[in-house]
Amino acid sequence: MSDVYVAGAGMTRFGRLDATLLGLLAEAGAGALRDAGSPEIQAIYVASMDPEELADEGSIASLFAAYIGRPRLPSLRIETGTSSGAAAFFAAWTAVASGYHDHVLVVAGEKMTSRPTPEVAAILSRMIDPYERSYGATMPALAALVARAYMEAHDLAPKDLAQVAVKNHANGARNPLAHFQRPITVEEALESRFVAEPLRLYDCCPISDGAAAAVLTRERHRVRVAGIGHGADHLALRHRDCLTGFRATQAAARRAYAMAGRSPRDIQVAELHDAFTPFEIISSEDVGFFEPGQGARALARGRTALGGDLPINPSGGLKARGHPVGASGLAQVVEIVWQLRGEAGGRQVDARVGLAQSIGGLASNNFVTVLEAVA
Amino acid sequence: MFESAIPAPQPAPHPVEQRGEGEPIPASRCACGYVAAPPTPFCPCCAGPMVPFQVAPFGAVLSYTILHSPPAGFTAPLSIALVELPGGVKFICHGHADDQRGLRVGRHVRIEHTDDIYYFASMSLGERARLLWSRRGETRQKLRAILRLSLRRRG
Repeated sequence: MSDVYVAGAGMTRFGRLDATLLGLLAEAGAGALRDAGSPEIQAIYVASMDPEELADEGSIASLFAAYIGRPRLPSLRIETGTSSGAAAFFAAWTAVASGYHDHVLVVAGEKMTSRPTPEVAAILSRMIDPYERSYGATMPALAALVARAYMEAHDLAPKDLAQVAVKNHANGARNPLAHFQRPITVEEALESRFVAEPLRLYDCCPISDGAAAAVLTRERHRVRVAGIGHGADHLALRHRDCLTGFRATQAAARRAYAMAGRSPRDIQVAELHDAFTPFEIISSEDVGFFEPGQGARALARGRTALGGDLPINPSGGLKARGHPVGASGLAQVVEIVWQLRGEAGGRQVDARVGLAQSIGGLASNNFVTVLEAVA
Repeated sequence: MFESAIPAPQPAPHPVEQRGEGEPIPASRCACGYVAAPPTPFCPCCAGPMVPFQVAPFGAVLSYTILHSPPAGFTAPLSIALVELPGGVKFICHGHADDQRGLRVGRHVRIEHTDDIYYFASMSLGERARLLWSRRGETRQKLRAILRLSLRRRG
């Protein structure tokens, strides 16, 4: 297996945008190719969760290759729900690591704001087990069930969750590509309306448009993919043995650390899947940064803030950078690449080893990627 | 890797009806001991064949939510609860949406159903009717379910 490097990274602004899905993918892809020094790519891996319904586009991989004037480049689409961007990165990594390809372009995007929110909620809820969906379960509803179980088990108050939103909005305010670039207060978060009790509006990520891209290569570059893991769990919440942690993240993390020859203590910066505020706390435990039940305490002490010893979501996370569902998993990798190369501007942290963790569905199809700066 | 997901094997089906505890919930059981409610054709844990089984319709609330932004077709507020039935079987049902007095994790609840839509037995006739009306579905079917619900209550 060859070493695989990230040769280039690119990303559009995230938010409520005028651009089309193809336009967003093309902008991010062009940025990554330019950043990589325009290598001769041999394939395009495209991630998008539901371009058919959200953007009225089908055959998105071929369509994208044609759109950017590369109709003869083999392209394929990867989909694992809300972790699709990380899945496409993983699939491209296997193609390059195996030696099948030398250079692969990965693009990941979603166009979500053209549809009304209840319709988007219904589309996203198709990631849920059909029986649970028949009871009206949405992603926020299942996240709320997990949140309440976790809060009950570890004695958390709503303000403990709000701290995640406050931290990530503060980080987002330093990210010119973030959907939200305005700091918020705990009071604002706690006064926002309920979406699914105990989760309020500010506990949930926004519906966003946006795209991210990366070029993977076997040639030595400044950032190496040190470890990568893919973990899965029951689609149905009722079949899970644990409601206060995600087995799929834990399995993916074990695999990624083993491949990287690293432990959680080696990670100096992380992008975690905070689609809902409790998910950042739970994920910080699932990837082994903190003991079960200790994630909120570490957050409250400022350990995961930009100036802490283990900054989490310096980009603003899904919460403030935004969550174009298919794009987020790759946008996390892009942020870690920028952090490791010292190109993260006003949100730069000091790190040589970083981790990205992406959740697909309600944590049924997750990815963990460990990236290292190459000396 | 799934050992921890498998609850201890249950002996015989619970003789619930004799004890006057309500109609049992249809389930399925695998040779490995895993019980799924509602029934599944294959074991969600080991892919083994399932045989029909029943679970007593009561248990402790593991978690619950009141959904204020339901998906298209449903009306807010909508309550969804996860209840642990006897033998560790986790079950999704509806609970109190407006009147949440006493609703908390760990509370013991009994579960009833109308047309295979399961909800807390402690819900009033008004709450049940509102619930059936707030679910996604055809108006005629929903009205028929509500009619059946009120006739059964009176009878």
